[in-house]
Amino acid sequence: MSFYKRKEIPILLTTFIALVMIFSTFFKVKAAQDFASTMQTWVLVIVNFTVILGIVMITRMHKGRIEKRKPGDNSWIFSVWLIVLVVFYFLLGVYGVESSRSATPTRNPAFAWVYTNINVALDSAMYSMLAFFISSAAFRAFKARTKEAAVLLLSAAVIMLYNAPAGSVIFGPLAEQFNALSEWILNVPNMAGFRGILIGAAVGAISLGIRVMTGRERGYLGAGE
Amino acid sequence: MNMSFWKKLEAVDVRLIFLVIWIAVGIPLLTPLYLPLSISPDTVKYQAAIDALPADVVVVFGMDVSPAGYGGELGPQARATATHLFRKPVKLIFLTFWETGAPLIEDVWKNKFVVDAMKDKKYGVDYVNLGWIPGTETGMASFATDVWKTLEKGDYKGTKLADLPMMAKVKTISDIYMLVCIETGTPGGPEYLRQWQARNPQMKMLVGSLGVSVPANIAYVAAGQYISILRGGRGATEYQRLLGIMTTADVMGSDAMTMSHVIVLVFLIVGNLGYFATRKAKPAKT
Repeated sequence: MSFYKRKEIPILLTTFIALVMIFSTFFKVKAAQDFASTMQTWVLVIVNFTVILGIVMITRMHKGRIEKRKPGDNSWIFSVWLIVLVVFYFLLGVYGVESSRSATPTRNPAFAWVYTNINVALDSAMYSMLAFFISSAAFRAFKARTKEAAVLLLSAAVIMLYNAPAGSVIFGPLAEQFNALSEWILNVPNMAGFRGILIGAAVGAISLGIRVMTGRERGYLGAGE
Repeated sequence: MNMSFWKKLEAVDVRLIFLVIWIAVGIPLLTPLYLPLSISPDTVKYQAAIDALPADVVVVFGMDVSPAGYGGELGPQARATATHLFRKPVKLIFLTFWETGAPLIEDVWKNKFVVDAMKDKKYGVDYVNLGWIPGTETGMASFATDVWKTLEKGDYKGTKLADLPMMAKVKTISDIYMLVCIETGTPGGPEYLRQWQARNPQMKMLVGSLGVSVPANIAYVAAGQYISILRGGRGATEYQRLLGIMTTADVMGSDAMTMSHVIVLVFLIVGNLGYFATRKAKPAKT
């Protein structure tokens, strides 16, 4: 097998860097901490290159959709639109950096205007459409078919109303009792569940880290294993 | 009541449901209803924590938001928090680990209450905007260990940190007194806990969160890791009310939010009434 294709080298590199990072967290050794700091800075640089990779990949994917378009299926138009917008926004960003003579394109009024008045507005509109779907689901699907479903439904209704700005006031003289019930649901059964999930996820992350360092988990090296 | 009524209700056209929610949300957006409002203890604690800030301490304002979160619940939270912080004699660092949050920092500064609060503040001396720091949680770790190395590019305008006087005393996370994080999701509060508060346990944390994230975040408040939390749209409205910076538009947004919640609750009740009414009519299984 070619030297460059050997899996042992990236595994050794991963294990070495992981051990130094862990060591630098628990021990105040300057050399280890300097190394860890440099590695973290490398990540910041690499992340920027992954954005370029992302643009290339999404363009290739949608180019394929346009090429494979079938008669009667007009969904390829959205792929054209996506590529046009990616190119437009990329060029606007480059222009923004140049014209505003700053580190980020957001200083450029045109870039900022498009972002605030189109991106924010459209994204908020997409998010707010949830109100319609949740209403429909609440009416049609969220039924107390079993005892467990009834408990879930009741808890959800109480917490939902508690999160509304005027939620507890609706209950008038019983507002204090309603608040107490909401707090109890949040602070006892909800918190117990979330703490279990958090602790489970942390133990899982440690296990995954050990598997990666010992070369048992190789998914990050690419497809096939 | 006639059983056919419930059957008809069960089979109601979904467009009718959409129309009802559209009207219920639309009315308060056209004319404010001034629905009553209570103030939750968490919001009072959030305000008190900022009020208690000593002079000249460094506070980081993490604008870790998506456009959707900002456009709804987090925008009012961010504007109210920035107004309050600018009223205090502290040094403010605005930054974000969400690339979507970077353009919105300056948008917060355009709010009229924020403009009033920051009129005597000088950029570089009293506040800075460090913009987007890439790398999500790794970026946070990098910032915590070496602020200057992480930000060799300078602030969001490209000004080197050496030219920003207030940054002279900010080298690592140990120099940060408090973090206020307005968060949409990951990276957000829990990641700051792991990368910042774990390195500087004295650092105080306040979090402004979406309503849907409150149940997950509440565990950190109970553990004392967050001093307090702003609970979605409700928290934003309460905080604006406490600071006396609520505009008519804010009242409209708050009323619309309450109406949408109430309507969903009504649909839940009616849907279940219909379910039980029609279920009784069904023949028992043999």
